[in-house]
Amino acid sequence: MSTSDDGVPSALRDRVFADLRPVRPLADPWKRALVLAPLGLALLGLVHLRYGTRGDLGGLLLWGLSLLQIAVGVGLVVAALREVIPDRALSIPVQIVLFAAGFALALGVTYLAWHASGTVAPPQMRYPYWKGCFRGTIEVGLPALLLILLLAARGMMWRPSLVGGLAGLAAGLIADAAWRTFCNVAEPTHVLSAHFAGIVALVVIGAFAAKLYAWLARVG
Amino acid sequence: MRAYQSGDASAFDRLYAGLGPVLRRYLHSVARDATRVDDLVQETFLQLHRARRTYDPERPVIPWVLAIARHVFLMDCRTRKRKGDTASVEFDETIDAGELGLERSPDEAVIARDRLRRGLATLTPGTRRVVLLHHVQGWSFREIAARLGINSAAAKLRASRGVNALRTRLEDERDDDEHQ
Repeated sequence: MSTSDDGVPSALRDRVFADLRPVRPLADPWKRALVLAPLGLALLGLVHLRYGTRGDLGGLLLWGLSLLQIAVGVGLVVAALREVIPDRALSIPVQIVLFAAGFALALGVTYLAWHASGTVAPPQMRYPYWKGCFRGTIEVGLPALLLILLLAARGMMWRPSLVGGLAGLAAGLIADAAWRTFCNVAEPTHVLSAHFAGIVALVVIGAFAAKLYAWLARVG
Repeated sequence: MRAYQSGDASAFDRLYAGLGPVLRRYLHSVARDATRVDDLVQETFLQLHRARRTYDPERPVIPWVLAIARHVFLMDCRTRKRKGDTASVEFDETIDAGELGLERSPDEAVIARDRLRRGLATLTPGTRRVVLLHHVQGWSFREIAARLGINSAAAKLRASRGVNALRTRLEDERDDDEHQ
């Protein structure tokens, strides 16, 4: 192993100096995650304009819970963006708390809406409603997921499944926050099999996409 | 580090000179193989280079660098395990008695290490952490203070009390052995 006068191995020096362009330090995860807040509000507005608003819930249960979901979603984005910074990685208890909190919020919102409204889907419309809401949650969530993964990819994605999973959960909560302002079926079987399953699907898509990205970055 | 982030070539040499010994000490404490440590130090600097934009100039540099080194070490262990090299994948983050000059013969080294571990176990978690970070991993008190959310004076006090308590305990044990 040859070294330069100052003790730096030549091979290391060559590889480092081949790419010594200036870089701008990443901003704090909080600041970076705030990009998602306007996107969440925009999705809320778009769903409202495109499909209208459900009439079975009052302001607090409708807009209040949706805003809470967006806020928790942004919090999860902060966690995902912390995870890609070497000395700020998430401990296992924190990971458990974050995933549990995200899913518990979705379940809690389902319970509160069902308790307050109790609307059910007409029997002949169960499948079309399920299909529309499952697809809708994923479609609304994908742009958010893509944006979060792009933000995370600027860091070190050493645990891609975790980062992608958190990104998917965040995107799912934000998407559901928008979608639930339109879908007026509060029945738990519908909400869990369509909306909640849509969030879970986004978690899986996020983990898979991040893993694929990490693999491509490694082999490329 | 700030100069390095802005593309200053000479900053890398200064960084290598400053961080190299810290990394070598840390990686030696976990890998215990001089050849492997050389490779790991190089790989850590490469990863450090790739990760340089994730360093926040407002935060201490050592925890950031050691997190990278730890990742490099774990990846190396995983690669070796996959290749079937199980002899070198043991991960021991505990204090090494040899680093404190306690090793004499191999037997005595084992005894000394055992005593040291037991001694460390008697310290409070907060004190033990400061002792390990400062005396084993080479962190400055300012860095420890930032990491643990305490002030530098408190970190110094904990380290001093911890070492005194350890010294007293080790001396007592040695006296007991000599009397037996």
